[in-house]
Amino acid sequence: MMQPRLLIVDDEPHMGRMLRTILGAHGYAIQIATEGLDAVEVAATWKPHVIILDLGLPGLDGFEVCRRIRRWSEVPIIVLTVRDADQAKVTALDLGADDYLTKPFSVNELLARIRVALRHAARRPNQPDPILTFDTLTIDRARRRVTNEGVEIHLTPTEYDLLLVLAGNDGKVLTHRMLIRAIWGDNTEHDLPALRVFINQLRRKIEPDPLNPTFIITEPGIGYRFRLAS
Amino acid sequence: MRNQKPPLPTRFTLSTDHEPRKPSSSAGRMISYLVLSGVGMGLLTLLLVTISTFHPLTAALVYIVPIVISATTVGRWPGLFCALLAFLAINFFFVPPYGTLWVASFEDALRLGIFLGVALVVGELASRAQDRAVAARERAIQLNALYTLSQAVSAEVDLARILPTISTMTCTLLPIAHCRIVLVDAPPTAGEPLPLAAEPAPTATPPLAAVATRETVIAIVGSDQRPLAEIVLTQPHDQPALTHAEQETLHTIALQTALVIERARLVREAARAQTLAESDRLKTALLASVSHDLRTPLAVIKGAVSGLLDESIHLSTQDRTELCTSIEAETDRLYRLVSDLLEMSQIETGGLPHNTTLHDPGETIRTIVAQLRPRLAPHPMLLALPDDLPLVDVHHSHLERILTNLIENAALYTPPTAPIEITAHADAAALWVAVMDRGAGIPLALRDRIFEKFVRGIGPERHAHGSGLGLAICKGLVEAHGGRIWIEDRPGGGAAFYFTLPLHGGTKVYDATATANR
Repeated sequence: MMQPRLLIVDDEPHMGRMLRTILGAHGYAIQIATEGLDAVEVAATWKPHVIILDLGLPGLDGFEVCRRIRRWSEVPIIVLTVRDADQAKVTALDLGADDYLTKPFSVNELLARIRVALRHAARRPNQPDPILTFDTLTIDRARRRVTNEGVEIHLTPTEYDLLLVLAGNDGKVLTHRMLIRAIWGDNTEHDLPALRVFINQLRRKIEPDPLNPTFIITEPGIGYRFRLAS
Repeated sequence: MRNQKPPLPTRFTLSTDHEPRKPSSSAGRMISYLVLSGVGMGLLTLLLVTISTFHPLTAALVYIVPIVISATTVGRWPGLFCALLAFLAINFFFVPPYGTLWVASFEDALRLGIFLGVALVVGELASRAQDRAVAARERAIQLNALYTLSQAVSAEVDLARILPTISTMTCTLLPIAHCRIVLVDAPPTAGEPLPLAAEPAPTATPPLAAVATRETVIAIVGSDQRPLAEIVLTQPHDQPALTHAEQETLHTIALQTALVIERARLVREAARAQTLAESDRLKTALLASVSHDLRTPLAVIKGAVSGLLDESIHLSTQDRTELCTSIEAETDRLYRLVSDLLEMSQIETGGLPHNTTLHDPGETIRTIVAQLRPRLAPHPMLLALPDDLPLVDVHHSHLERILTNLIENAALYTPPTAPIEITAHADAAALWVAVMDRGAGIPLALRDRIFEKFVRGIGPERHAHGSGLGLAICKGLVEAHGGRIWIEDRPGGGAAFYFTLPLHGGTKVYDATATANR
C-alpha cells in the first residue's frame, strides 16, 4: 500500500517528535494527537491504518479512546503502557486493542508490532489462505490437518481449536479471556488453570522443546502470543 | 455464674448504684395479717349470730367471701387461717348442739367437713391464681424493660453512652444494689486504647461500705470466645440469691451487652480498614504516577537513540539534531525528577544537611534570577530588593532551591509573557520573600493541598513538566529552617507565594515528622 498512515496519541511532546522522526524515516505518514478527543476526531477523518495509543493520557483516558473508536472501526490499536500496569494492559486488550508495548520500548519492537497489525488488517477482507505455515509446522484448515516436518500430529478438538485461534492471530497477543471465550464461548466455567492445561498439552505436541517454546510464547500476566508465520 | 473475681486487666468501669429493693413479706407482716383476719372473722361471726335466722348453709356461704378475699388480697396463709376460723365459727355457732364444737348428726358433720374442704381448696386456688397474676405482671414489666433496653441498644454504637443505660436497666430489673460493667482491654490486634472516658462515673449514692456485700461476676465473651467484659453485681449480704427467672433476665442482659460491645468494636475496625484501604489506594495511585513520569523520558531517550543507531533508515541532519535535542531535554527532565525524589526523601527522613552559614539573601536572589532568566524567557523577571537585607543563616543550596522551585513554578503555570516579580524585605524577626505571577491564581480549595506531594495545579502544562514535588520540597525546606510558606491572591490577578526565614535563633527542625505536626 502507499504510505501507511499512523496516528500517534501521546501527550508528551518529545515522545511525539521522536516517533514522528523515526517512524517517518521508515516510510510512514504520521499524525500526532495530544488529547483523547482529538485522537477520536483524527481517527475518523484521517482514517489511519494503525493507531499507537498511550494509555496514560490526561483527560479522556486511553481506555475511553479505545472504546469510542472501536464502536465504529476495526483499525488496529497498539497501546503503550508502563510495565507494572498488567491490569491496564488486559483491560485495554479486552476493550479492543490489538497489542501492547511497555515503556521504555525499542523502536524496532514497535515497528515489528506495526507490521503485524498492518498484515492482519490487510488479511481480513480477503479470502484467508487455508494453509498456514510456521517454519516446519503446517496447518491445513481445509482438511483439519496439522503436520510438523511432514509428520501428522493428532490433536484433540479443543487443542485444534486453540491452535487455530493462536495461529490465526499470529504475532498478536491474545489475553487469557479472549482465548477462553474463543474456544469455549461466553458462559463457560473454564478458567485460567484449564487454559494452561491445554496450552501445555499443545506445546508438548507441537514444540520441538516444550520447555523453551518457540511457537506459543507466554506473555506473563496477559496471555499468549503465537509466533509470526513464515 | 462465677462467684470469684478473675484477675483480668480493667481499663474502664461504669457503675450505677440503686436503692435496694424491700424484701417481700417479713414475719411481722404475716402476724399482723393473721390478727387482722381473726378480728375480721370475729366481727362477721358476731353479725351472723345476732341475725340468728340464718341457716347454717347460708352462714357457710357467707363465710366463703372473707376467705376468698383474704386469699386473693393478702396471701395463702391468711386465707387458710380464715378458712379454719370459719369452720370453727360455723361449728360453734350454727351447727347443733350450739355453743360447742361437738357435732351431733352425721349430716351436719358431713356438711361441715365438706365446707372445710371446699373453703381450703377455694382459698388455695384463689391464692394460686393471684400468685400467677402477680408473676405474669412482673414478667410483663421485665419483658417490657428488656425490650426497651434492646431498642436503645440497637441504635447506639457508642459504648460510653450505652453501657450506663445497661447498668441502670439491670439495677431496675434485678434486686441488686450496684451494677458495674467492666470492659476487658482489647486484644493486641486493636493496638489502641479504648476510646472511652478514663475516669469512672461518679458515685452519687452513699457507698455500701457499712453493709457486708456479696458480689456476683458474669463474664461476657464475644462470638470468638474472647472475653469482652464483666458485669459485676453487688447485693447486700442478707439478700437472697437471684431466682431462676432473675438469672434468665441477667443472661439476656449479658447477651445484649456482648452484642453491643462486639458491634462497637466491629464499627471501629471497619472504619480503620476503610482508612487503610483509602491510604493504600492513594499510595498506589501516586506510585503509578511516578512510574509513568520516570519511564516516559526513558522511552523517548531509548527510542531516539535506537533511531540514531538504525542503519536501515535515512535521517536528515535536521532529524538527527531534533532527536539529540529530545535526548538532552528528556535527560534533564529525568535528572530533575530523580533529584526531586531524592530531596523529598531526604526531607522526610530528616537527612538534610545541617551545616548552615550566613548568606546575603539579596545576592542569592539576584544570582538565581540571572541563572533562570535565559531559561524562562520570554517571561520578564522583575526584582524589587532593598539594599540592606540582613544576612540569613541557611544552608546555601536550600535557599537557592526554594527560590528556583518557586520561580520555575511561576513560569510554568503562567502565559509565556506574563511577568514574574520577586520582592523581599526584613523585619526584626524574619526575612520575607515573595514570588508573584500574573497567572490564573490558585483556587482557594487548592491552597493548602498544593504543598503536598504530587499535587499539581490546573493548567495546560501540568502533565508534561514538573514532578509534582517542587512545592512540597519548598515547604519542607522552609519549615526545616523554621520558616513559613503560604499563598495569597494578588490584586489584579495571579498568585503570590510568600515565605519567611527566621533571622536569629529561629528553631531549626530537620526532622519532617516534627514539622508535619505543626
